[in-house]
Amino acid sequence: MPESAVAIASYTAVSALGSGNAAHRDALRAGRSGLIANDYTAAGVPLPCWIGRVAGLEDDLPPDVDTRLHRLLARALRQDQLGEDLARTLADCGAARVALVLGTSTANIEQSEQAYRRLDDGHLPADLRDPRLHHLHGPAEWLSAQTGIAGPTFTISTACSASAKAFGLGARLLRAGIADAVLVVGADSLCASTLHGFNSLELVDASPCRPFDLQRAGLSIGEAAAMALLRHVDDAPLAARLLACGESSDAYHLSAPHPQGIGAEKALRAALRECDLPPDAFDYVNLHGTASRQNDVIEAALIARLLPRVLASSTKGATGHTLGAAGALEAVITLLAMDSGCAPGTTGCIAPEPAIAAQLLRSPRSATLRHALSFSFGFGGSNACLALACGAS
Amino acid sequence: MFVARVLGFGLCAPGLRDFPTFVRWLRDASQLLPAGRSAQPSAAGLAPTERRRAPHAVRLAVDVASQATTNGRGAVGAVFCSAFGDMANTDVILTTLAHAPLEISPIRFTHSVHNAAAGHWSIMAVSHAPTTALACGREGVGAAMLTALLEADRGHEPQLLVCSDAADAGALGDAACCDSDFAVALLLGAEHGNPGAPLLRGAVRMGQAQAAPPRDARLRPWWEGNPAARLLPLIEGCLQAGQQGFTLPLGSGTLLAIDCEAPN
Repeated sequence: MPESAVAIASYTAVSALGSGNAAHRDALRAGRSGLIANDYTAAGVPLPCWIGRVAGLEDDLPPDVDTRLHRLLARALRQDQLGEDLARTLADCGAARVALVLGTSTANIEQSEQAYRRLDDGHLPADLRDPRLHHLHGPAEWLSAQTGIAGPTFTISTACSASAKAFGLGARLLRAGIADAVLVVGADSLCASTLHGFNSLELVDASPCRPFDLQRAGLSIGEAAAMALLRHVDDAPLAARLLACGESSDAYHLSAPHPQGIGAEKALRAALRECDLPPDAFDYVNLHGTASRQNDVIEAALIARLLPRVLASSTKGATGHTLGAAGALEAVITLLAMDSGCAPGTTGCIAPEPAIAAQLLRSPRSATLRHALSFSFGFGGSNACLALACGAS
Repeated sequence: MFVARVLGFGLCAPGLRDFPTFVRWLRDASQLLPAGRSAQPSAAGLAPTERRRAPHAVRLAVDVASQATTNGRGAVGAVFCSAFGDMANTDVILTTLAHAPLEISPIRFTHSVHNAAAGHWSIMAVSHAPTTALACGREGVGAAMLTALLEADRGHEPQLLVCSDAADAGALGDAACCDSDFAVALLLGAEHGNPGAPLLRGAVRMGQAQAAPPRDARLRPWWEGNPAARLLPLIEGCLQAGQQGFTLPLGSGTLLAIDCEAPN
């Protein structure tokens, strides 16, 4: 185990697949998709596409600053003992020794969208003027106040790599002795900005997304919140581990991946270097696999070249692309796969890209997964690769 | 304790196009604070097509990043921080979504990601090194500085810190007030091998940061009105021989204490 490893003492997720680890584990084992026909009407007539909506969110007890994103975060805190574990950690370590790193792409922008639909003489309506509704750090400020975290608080917003990179910063805070525990969060909620924005780029499939399928035609947007409590290994010796977070930049294009996957390869190599493990040490890789034409063909070639014997799948056909939350959500999905001994399938993929056909799991497969990787790539050419190890059973 | 030297500076503000211009202005006490809300970033390093496409907020951040990384120091890791991002672009997108959501511009949407400036800069600098984009609130420069110091302290390459916020735009300004453009960049490098450069020693402590305004009272409107300008007292410290201490908030119960030692 590399010296740089940190423990993932507690984790949970809420997504279109359900709320909590058991719901995710069961859905992934069954190969079920959480995607539904788009019924998000906040911006008028829904776009003809499919989405990964979290069911029942509208019926949850409203948080004090009531936003869709805060409801996701509040629900995550209530699951899998996450809130209790965090409270115990805060009591044990002291609130100022617990840090928060939150990754998001759009934060509470759904509230800004609502406000602009009913501006009051060119100004925000009086009931929607809380600054936390309109800037990216708002959810982290709200979550700090909710939980009592008083340590350093960060919001990373590097599009779809944001919450994977949050794991990297969280681990660095621990190793540097700045914190004794770090709550890493990924969160993004459905909103008109991303649904219509990706639609304007012609990147949204009218059908449920089909990652790595030869007939794929774009993404399905989803929403999620995922949380992980990072601790020193000595404080949680039996827990799963974050071995490394490799990061890089494409330095190529703002919205298109590098055609040879140079940035993604550099992120992978940085992760392998950091954890000092060879590619063959890994049993599973959770792919970025958005179902966009460009991403999947480039990622397939990269995996075939650098990780040819590793089982691989994209879970975005099950959850939708949860954007800034995807890194943390897919880290949790990967941890659950290792814990349950079941690698998820690639829901929606029928005829895979030839380059990756031999190793891409189209349906779930039972397997011993000791070490695993998770890829996240974002607009701006921002790449992250997490290396994870299962905990002691 | 994190230790780094400041190897390069960049600054762009209304009426002050670059860091040397700022230093000359600062040393001439007869000059008033330039009027206006808008800076004029040249962002000369961007390719002409990208310079035309890049929104003002992106050009502002990329301009100071370029200033601080002259002398071939392009391929370095970078921490970009902006409290409010590209509010002008967000305002247009929100207005479009409210009235004609199908007409949202794909170019505007592409530039709406908070790491647009980091992406443009990495392309311009041909840098595959990791970059990040933070938004840590109105008092977020401390979190950004800590992130950059953590990276610089790993001892690999110099680390670029860019803090920028553009003047507010549209109704969003009601909740995210920002009086004028301001951007600043620091290139942080190893303590050894750069003896003539200002030395920063950073440490995380419990407690509340003490908001100390700039020594030069002329700078106070920028310091009060723009989140990125919270770094101005530290910039003054780097320019004035001697040793000075600063504190910046990190969370509700922690602060970043920075000791700045500038050469004669």
